Amino acid sequence: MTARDTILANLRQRSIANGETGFQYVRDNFAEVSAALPLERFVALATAESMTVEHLVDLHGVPGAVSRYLRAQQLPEQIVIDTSACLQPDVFSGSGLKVSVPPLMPDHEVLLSGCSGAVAESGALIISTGDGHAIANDFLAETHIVILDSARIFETLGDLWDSLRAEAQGGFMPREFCLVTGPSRTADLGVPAKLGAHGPARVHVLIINGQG
Amino acid sequence: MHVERDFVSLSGKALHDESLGEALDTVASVMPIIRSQALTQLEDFAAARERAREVRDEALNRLDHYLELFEQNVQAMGGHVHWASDDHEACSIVAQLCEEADAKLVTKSKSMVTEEIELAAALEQRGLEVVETDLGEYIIQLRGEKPSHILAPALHVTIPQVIDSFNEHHKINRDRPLEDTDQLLAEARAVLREKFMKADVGITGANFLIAETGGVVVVTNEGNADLTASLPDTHIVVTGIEKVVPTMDDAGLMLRLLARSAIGQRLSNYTSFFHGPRRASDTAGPGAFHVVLVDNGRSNMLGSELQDMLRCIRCSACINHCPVYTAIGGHAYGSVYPGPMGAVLTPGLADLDSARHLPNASTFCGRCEEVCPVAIPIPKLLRHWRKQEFSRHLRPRSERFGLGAWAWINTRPSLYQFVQRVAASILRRLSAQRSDGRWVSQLPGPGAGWTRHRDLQAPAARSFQKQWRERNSGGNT
Repeated sequence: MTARDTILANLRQRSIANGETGFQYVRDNFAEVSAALPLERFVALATAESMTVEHLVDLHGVPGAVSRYLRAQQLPEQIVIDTSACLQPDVFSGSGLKVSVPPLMPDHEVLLSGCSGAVAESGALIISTGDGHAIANDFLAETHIVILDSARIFETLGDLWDSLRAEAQGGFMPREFCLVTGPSRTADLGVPAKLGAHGPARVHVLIINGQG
Repeated sequence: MHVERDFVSLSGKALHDESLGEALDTVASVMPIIRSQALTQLEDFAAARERAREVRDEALNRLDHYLELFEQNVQAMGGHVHWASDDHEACSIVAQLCEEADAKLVTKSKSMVTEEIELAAALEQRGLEVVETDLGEYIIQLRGEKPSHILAPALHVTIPQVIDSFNEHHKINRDRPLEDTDQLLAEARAVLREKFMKADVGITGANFLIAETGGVVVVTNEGNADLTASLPDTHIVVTGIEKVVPTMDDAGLMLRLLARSAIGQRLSNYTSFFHGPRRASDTAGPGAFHVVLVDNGRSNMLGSELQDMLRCIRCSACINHCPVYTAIGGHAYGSVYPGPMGAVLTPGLADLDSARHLPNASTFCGRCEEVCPVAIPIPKLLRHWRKQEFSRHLRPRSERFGLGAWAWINTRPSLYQFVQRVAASILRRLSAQRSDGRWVSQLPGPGAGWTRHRDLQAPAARSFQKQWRERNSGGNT
């Protein structure tokens, strides 16, 4: 008998309700309740967890917003752009920004990328593989500027699961998706926690079609 | 599973460790507050907790079914699932997978199951370089220590000790400034970044497995699990068989309770869901994806009184609220699972003989059960082990005799009252009157230990039973 057979046989012998199959889907109704609109809620929670945000009318505003942010942070005006940003590098011509598209980025760089949406209840951005997006870059950058479409802000985690089920390609979830609630942090060097443990020390969100 | 047997001497030593005491005071004063503040965000914590208990019970009651479903879904996405009956088998499977990947360098994110099976040591014995990437785990790896808390493994380590460890192990210019936590963090980031980029295999644990999707959920605040999983060409997940939940909705509820109970956050900074190896549309990501499901004593807990313990989601709320843990810290327990959850789990996964002190390391105050997000009746399970310890004759002869005599006297009311009268009379003779009543400041014989650091209040002149009889005979009720 293989270990698999032995373990499963032991489980079947000991399980209280063995033999039954299938699922009982119970909708998750335990989300935190709020009267605020999803966009307001996401912004309030994300900024409380050390993210920063700027509202833009459309993607045309991105190069200017990126330049402003980098200047304010006193960072070099040099970025790496990911395909998920839905922007071609030529959009940045004339912006004064130096733009590159390497497959995997070195440390101390600024990454501009898109995301799959956000969850208002958790104040979380959803970053995901798919469409050639190298998700590892989202964890390698020291500064992460994320473009978020305000139409993709889910009110609760339950709404996100519904959407993922509906959008599943070939019945599969994205290879990896991650709910990000703020910069990388650690409390292993004491309290208060320090930002920038391994991943981004700064997460700046450009919300498109926001309040302008 | 290895357990240090000298709980009594280790806990005595821990009580005299001042820097440990300071760290534990922070845990005891800060963690309960941030947990309770975070849980008030939920409209009805009691209902959420009840549903969480149901979800975990549902998964455990049909564990075979959900594990097979999980396996099918992982395989459909091109991943592989391996089953390991015990720690040796689990380590061999992972070593074999590393060999197939022709690996030299392995990065690891924090996983209590890999601590339990001592995976890093097993791989190092086979010539692999294994690097822990959670900063706390990395610090204790450099120091050659075990974790002292399941979420904050380096809780016991002071900043000067971290500086010493970095100076000893990092082959960097000794004259560099390395004095404050910013410099320590920058150095750890640089050193570990290089390891992330060069690793051949990345090993993570799993907080949850989702049967519905074949998803593996891993939470961190540092983002190290994502770099561990995404950069090398092989991602190996090592986890316990009990971690499965039926659906994504179930996982969502668990994640809300986990982050709030553990660190007082709505969600951990990074909550990642992994589904199989790199796909055709991916430009990067691991080409091989393996999940190693570890039993190591868990299936034997199923269907017994101990099944409730398998609901545990490793949030550490019971640990942070325990008056024993917050006095002695994690190392004294001699197990990778400390505190109340460890005191129940360790005898189940190892053996009661080597872990017999742990179920006794409790005041039975009940806070552990009160704060548990999946309502595990920890005091009841500790009592289960204490009963086993007694019936299996594991307690010393003197203790067994004492407990036997106590039980014999207590089941004979007249004898009990007689003994009580004699004992009360002796204690009152040994006591002295003070402004706040009569106190015994020095007990003789085996009682001397009790009065070494505190006084004992003398019994009342008339016992409760005597007073009760007098009240009743006087016509009062």
